[in-house]
Amino acid sequence: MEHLVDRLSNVDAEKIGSNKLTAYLPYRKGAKEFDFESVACVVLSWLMGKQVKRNLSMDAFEAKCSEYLEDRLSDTSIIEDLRKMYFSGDALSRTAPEFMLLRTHAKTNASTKHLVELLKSFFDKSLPSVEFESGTNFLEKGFLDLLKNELREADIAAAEECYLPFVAEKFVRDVTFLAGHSEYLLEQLPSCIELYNFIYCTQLGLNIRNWTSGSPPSSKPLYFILDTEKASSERVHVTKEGYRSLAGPMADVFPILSMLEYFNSDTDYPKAPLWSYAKAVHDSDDSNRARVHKSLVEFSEQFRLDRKLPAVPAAPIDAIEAMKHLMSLGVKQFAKTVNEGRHRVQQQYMEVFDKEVARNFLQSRGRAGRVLVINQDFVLLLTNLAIGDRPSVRFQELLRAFKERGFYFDKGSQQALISFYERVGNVDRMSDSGDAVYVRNTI
Amino acid sequence: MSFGQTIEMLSKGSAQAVTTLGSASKEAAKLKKYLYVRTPVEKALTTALDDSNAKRILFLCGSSGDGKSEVFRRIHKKYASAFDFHLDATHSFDPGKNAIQTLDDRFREYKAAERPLVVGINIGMLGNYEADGAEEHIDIKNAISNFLKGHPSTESQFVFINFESYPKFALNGKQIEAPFIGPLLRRICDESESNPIYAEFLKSDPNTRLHQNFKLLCVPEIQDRICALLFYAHLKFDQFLTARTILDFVFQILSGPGTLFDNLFCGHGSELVDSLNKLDPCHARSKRLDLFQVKASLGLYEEDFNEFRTAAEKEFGLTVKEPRTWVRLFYIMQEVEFSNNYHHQFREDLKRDLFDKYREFWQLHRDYEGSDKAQKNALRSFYKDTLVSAVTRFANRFAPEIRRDRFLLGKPNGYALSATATMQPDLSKLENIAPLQLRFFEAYLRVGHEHHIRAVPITVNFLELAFRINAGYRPNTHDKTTVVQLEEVVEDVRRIVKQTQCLSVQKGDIEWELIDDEVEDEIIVERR
Repeated sequence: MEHLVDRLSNVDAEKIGSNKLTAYLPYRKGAKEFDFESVACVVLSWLMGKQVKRNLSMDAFEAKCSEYLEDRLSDTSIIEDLRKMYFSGDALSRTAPEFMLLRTHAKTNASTKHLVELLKSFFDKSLPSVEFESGTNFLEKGFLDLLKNELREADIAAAEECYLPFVAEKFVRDVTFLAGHSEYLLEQLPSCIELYNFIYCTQLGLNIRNWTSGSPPSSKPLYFILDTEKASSERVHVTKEGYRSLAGPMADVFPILSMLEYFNSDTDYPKAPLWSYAKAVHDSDDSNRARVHKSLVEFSEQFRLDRKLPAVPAAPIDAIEAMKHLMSLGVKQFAKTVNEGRHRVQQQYMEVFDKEVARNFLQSRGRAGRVLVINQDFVLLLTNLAIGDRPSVRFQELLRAFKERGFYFDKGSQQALISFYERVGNVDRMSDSGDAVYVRNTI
Repeated sequence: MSFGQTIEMLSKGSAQAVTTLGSASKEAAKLKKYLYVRTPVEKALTTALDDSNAKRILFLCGSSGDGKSEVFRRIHKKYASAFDFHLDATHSFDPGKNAIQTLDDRFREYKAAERPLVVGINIGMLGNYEADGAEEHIDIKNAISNFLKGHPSTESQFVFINFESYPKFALNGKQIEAPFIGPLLRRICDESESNPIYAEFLKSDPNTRLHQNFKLLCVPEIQDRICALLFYAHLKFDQFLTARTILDFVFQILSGPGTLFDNLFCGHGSELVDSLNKLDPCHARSKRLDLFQVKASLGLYEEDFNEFRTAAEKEFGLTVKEPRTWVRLFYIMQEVEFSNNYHHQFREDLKRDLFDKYREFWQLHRDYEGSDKAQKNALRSFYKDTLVSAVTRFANRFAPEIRRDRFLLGKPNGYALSATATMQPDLSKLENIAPLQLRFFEAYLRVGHEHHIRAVPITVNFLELAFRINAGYRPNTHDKTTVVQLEEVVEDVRRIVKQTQCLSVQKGDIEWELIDDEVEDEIIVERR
């Protein structure tokens, strides 16, 4: 922890430049669509602890397989058809999860890379090494054996400590669970990553202003409705703790994180979240705290002048206050009245969030305005993840598990959930009482 | 008190619908006492109470409206000296506490004292307590948890008596027996002086709808048919049939706006009635029924129908205009000998094949002993013609081109990969295992010689899906109910079949067999 205090006491006013962002957010302004499929391939390689050797392209692998067939087939004239059968499109990776590793070398866009970096930090402390029992036929098994010779250990060194450990823990748990069901994994891993990308961003937004105590973030209420439901302005939770409660803090994410960059400029250690710095300050002795206080007050003043922000009457009284002051300057510089151009950048970040991260979770509903929704496919996925390997879970407990994953539902949505489950047919009622509803997974 | 008021006491909206240990009105007490049907649950409880006065907790659990409180009211006096009773486990009388805290306190008192405790509790509440009860009662919570998981506690310290373990229906031969609902309906209609409802009925105006409906309900065959309907609703829509729901149901069909027949199938307001709407015999399609409805709507009546109608008017005061009501009447009265028995001609058209078949299969699974040839053949035919056929058709739905005995393994880029699969019933399993409840039975399949797949729970809905698939229906992804289960079976089978050494590939004109010769390390290609 000491290195964090050191960094705080050595923030370098020389480095004040434009606002940049290198960590903790899976997107940048103007970012393009995420390619969740290719992120899924990378995540899969972490799950297995294996990745394909650098020089093995899909084409090279196809050639190896052809050679293998050439050697064995009693009638080689069918090779061309077999190649068409398995090597066009993504047919091969649908037969066994291992084949998805072949796609990790494919070209990707920047958002996808940022998301991969972010998810890497999720795995930092716990790396499962999953082995699949793929139900392959003898042809596919032959290919699989070839592939296994081309694998090496996966490298997974994250450049940052995870900002939201509670999300990371659930993510690792959930994808490990998925790995136990290879068909379902193949089908749902990209959606699962999309889901967690959304959960991470929303919970990051809701937690971004709560760092001063130095304790790790926890799940904050955010209310959703099912996409089949009506959004009514009378639904208190949905209006007060829905999209509207998210939009404000979400806008602060970029300003605060870009301020955090000044603390994290030293690359010898992994980058640390803001609340870790607060914790380090709380845990350190008086002299260190004074050091931090002094350094930050000076830095703040430099920063204020650089950004042409108005002076504040009273200087912050201690280290934490100084941090708070600095962060508030970070946010203020983006105000429309201060700098139009900067304000525009902040808006561009919000646009990416709305359009890409939340694209499947956000709808405009007339008078109710923008509401957060979850569609049936994600409900089923979330349900299966929340139930995990248990045979069935009491509905109330399921709701608790949803909350741990950042999904909150009011009474109306709970009713809608139950009728949805009834339609799917994965509920058991032990009595006619609403409390005795048990939900099974559908894998 | 009028006839109407007496019937209204049966409604769940009535002040009498909830029993407390306190006093009810005199009429209500009299009616309840008369209607009360002593159930096996009560017997089990009194047996347990008589058994010993040792310190322990007896949980009487069920749904709301099962009659827990009514049982308590009846036995309270007799046992109050030796046992403590806690009745309203779902409530708290202290505004500062919730139901869970109240139970915590109650259990603390119990632990401090030496007396046995009897708790009447909802299954849902039991689950809540297991999750949120105080840690100091971990012993009780564990016992509850085991009970809810279906492992009956071996400890004598905690006894669970559950209403759900005493089924509301039993199957015997072709008969659907309703050991609770049957006697309850008979009691309501019993033509005796001691029956307060019947006494009021006699005094009431014979021209009222209520009077006519009650008269119809008094026909024993109609009661049996209603029991059968309730059984169907229980199977198909998971309806919980508690004492309170049934009494309310009787109230609704008697005092609804139409005839008994219309009230049965067109009512609204409760889940039970909603599910009966879906069982309306008017949905049945047959030439004879359609013809009858067309003619009747034009006022063209046959001679024997006129005779039948006149008799119905005379006997029950029925003045039916709608042809649909007549169809419902034909259905409900199908077992009744009446007038010229005009309605018997529709019996075949109104049969509930699905439920009859389900009953038959369920009984076969229960009664199979291994030696009876006829049983064996009937079972084999269920597996072959219904289950295996549906599983295979469903699995092959994207590749109609492959042979019927093949199982589709995948269709990468349009090439249908398949292999031969033989699925047989695992009859030896059935000898030792009988279905535990009416709502489903387990079917056991074997793939090839040695691979057994997980038991397949067959419900009425699953069976219906299987029938429909065999008749050509192709479910899609939006059709989620029970398809999930079928998909599971298909996945299980597919996993086994994939290990085959002989694959077949088909696309357009191409048709090969690929044989894996492990000894020669060769893949033999045979073109077809």
